[in-house]
Amino acid sequence: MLCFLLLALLWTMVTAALSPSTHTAALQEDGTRPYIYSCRSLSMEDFTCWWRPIVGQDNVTYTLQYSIGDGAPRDCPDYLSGGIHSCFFNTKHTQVWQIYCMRVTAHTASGTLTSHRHCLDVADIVETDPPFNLSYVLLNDSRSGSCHSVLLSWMYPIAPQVHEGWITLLYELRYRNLAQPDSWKVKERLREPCVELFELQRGTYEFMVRCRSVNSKHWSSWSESIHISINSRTLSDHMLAFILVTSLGVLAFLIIGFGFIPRGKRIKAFLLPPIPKPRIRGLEPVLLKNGKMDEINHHFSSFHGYKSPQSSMEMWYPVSVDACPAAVANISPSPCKPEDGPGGQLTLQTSCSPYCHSGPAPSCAGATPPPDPAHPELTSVPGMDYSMILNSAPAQPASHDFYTCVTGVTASGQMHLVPCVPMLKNTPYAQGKEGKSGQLVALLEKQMEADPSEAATPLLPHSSD
Amino acid sequence: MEKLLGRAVQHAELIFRVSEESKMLFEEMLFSFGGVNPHAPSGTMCAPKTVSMSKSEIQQISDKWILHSVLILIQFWTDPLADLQASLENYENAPSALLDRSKWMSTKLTSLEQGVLVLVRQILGDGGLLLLDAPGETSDHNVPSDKLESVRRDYSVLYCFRKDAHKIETFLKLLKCRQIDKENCSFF
Repeated sequence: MLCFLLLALLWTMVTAALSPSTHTAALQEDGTRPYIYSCRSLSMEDFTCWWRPIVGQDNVTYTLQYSIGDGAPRDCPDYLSGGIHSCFFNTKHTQVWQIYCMRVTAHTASGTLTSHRHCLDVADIVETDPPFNLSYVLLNDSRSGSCHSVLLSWMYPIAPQVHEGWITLLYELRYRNLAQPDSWKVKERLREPCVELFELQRGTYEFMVRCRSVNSKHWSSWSESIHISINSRTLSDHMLAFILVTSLGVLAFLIIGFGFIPRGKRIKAFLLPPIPKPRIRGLEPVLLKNGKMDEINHHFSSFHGYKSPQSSMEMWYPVSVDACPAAVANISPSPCKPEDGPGGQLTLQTSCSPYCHSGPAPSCAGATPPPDPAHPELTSVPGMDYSMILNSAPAQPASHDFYTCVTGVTASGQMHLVPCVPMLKNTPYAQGKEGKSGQLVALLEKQMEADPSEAATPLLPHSSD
Repeated sequence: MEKLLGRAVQHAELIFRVSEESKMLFEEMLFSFGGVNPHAPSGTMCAPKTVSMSKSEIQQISDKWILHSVLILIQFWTDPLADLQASLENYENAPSALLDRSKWMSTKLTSLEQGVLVLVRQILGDGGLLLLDAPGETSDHNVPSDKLESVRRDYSVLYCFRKDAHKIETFLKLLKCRQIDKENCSFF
């Protein structure tokens, strides 16, 4: 780092020694010495240098002397063609890629004053004329027929030199919408004397172009500008797209409205399938409500072991009064998990019906009569302090002899048990009114009248799961 | 042959553009460290070459002379560019862009030389190469004594090479124009 600083310092000294003229040029602006302020070449074939005269003195003559490389000094070949205080070097006197160094000397009455040395390479001082004859062609969009693209072209200066490759030009285009005069847009580094501009917004535009030689830093001045008006489009692409999307949306809405809503229920059922109610295939609840036993029997006859209630006699046996704990235990809430119904009432079933939602197939030992007549069961009727022993008669068939429906549970946790209605009506029970069995029957009848719909729903043991 | 000339012209254009960038990078490097804006070396720094003439004189010279001059220039600069690359690597903080460019220029100059040799054979025939003088001027291979000399020399190499690269590009363009469109291009 220190080494490099030293290097830079030495470099400063070197350059100061080598090129004393340019960096002290500012000192000459006071007019005490002539000062070469500009040299330009239009086509790299000839060039002109201009100097500022000294001020405050009359009858001053100027001479310019130059040297090429290490050659001998020569006088300026032409003081006139470039104007006053200039020196013009024509083609013969212009050698490209050589360093020219020159000085101007002012010869005054009091003596001579010499300018600082000015060195240049002709290839580096090229500044061409600006391009000219800008023209344009509006490009029609073949689809919509509107014109919002433009092809600009122009003529370039020094055409022969450019054509033969002696000079290569770079172009720069700038344009603005007159509605926003401060916002110029620029197309840089164009190598061809034409350019296409696409998708111009509506409005009036101003275009201008300039050029420079690739090896020079000096741009030409801007060309004369032209104005182009872009008209509004009949139907722009954006508008078309908007219309298309809107109509598709409306169409879709109509389809949905007229196609889907009528099938709303089906769709709803498809998307949110309802929880299937327990039902037995082929058996409608209406059938049972109507109480047409023939049809019911017909349906039930397909079940294994079903016997029509008319074909059997159910016998009621006298029961003991004591509430048997075992009986209570048997009537305990079934392992089928009860489910809270609305109003807090528990609806229990006595058999493993579809209403048992979870758990293993419970052994609802409830009030169903065992098929084995050797195991009598106790049943108790809530609200009454006795329980019944049910024992199916040996003569009777071993299945289905007695069906009890649980219609509800009291607040104290006791269950309402009622025999299922259609069977009861035809049994001798309905006729027996004396004694405890008569009380039982009366109670059952009362419950049936209070809530026939519940009693009318028979519950059968699961024949299949 | 149009394609070959086109490629030669493209090579020369690129070499010129890269040489310009290299010179600017070198100047920026010096400027950032010393606050110095190096000015153009005086005429003595760029070694005079054989081809330095006015436009009218150039228009008069033959295709053979153009090719000859181009080849001399290319062969002149092959070694100095290699030396420049070696020298730049000794700088402490030379930007990698500058190093890459100097390497690239050496490579491309060699391929341009190959292309020009092919052009010489095609335009001038097999005997064309025999007519060329042996490259008389070789670059100065003296090792610079100190750092200052090294910096001066490197800068003058970049400065002068940029100039000669532009020369090579222009000559090749002139040659291409003459070969393709004899009537409209410069007479001789």
